[in-house]
Amino acid sequence: MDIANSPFFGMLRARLDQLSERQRLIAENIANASTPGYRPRDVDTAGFERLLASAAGGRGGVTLVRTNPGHMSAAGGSAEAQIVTRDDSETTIDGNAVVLEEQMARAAETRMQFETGIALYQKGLELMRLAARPPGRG
Amino acid sequence: MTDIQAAISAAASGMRAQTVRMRIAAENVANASSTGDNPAEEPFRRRIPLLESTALASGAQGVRVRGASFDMSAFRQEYNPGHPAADETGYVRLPNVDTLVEMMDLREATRAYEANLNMIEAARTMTNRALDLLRR
Repeated sequence: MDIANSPFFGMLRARLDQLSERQRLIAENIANASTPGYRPRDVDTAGFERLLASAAGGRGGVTLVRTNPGHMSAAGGSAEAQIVTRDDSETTIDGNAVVLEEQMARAAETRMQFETGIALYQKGLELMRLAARPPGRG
Repeated sequence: MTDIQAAISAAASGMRAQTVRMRIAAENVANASSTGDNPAEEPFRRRIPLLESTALASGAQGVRVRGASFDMSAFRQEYNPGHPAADETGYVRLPNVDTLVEMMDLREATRAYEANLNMIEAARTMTNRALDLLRR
């Protein structure tokens, strides 16, 4: 059994990947908070969540359709998140659309979600360990 | 993990750029009354940092200071006939620095600097959480 690519771990890994990518984008936005003409970017979470939901419904991860036997199978959590430009509530005169407060809130949200993902991953590992323990011992 | 490292490098580039911005604002304030020695010589001209978005080696979209340009707006004038830089009508040209504007700029730079610092802190916590998986 491939543990790292099992539906549970595979999906969590895709989620953690997406969250760290989002954190990177937020860091870029904050770094460019005073760059004239800069427009903030974000991960298209709506699309990702939709993919994740369809993945959860279909038991396995998101899989590519194999129309040719030569195609490789993409097993487990290969949900790709798209990067979109998303302006914050205000745009300054120099065309910069980053609002620090909104980005900070987003960063905190991402961090919390990341920690949730890690906690779930840990729980999954614990369950694996429990299953691997010989019977009759505490 | 490379994403988190890229996040740290982007935040670091932001901190660097904001520091340069602070330095330029501080120079403007420090020279707010620097005049020339004679009527022909120009007083200190206010400088403006030019920030630009740039791709870093880590792949992140960071920021850098492209340079500083001069503020070409008019100089302030003050009636002070005894001053060596006073012209024939007795007016001295003073730098086009408005300390209030510089203070606003400084405040904004500080705020952006702190936000970048927070991002590094967040990235560090996230890395630590991920490393916690190895500890048990």
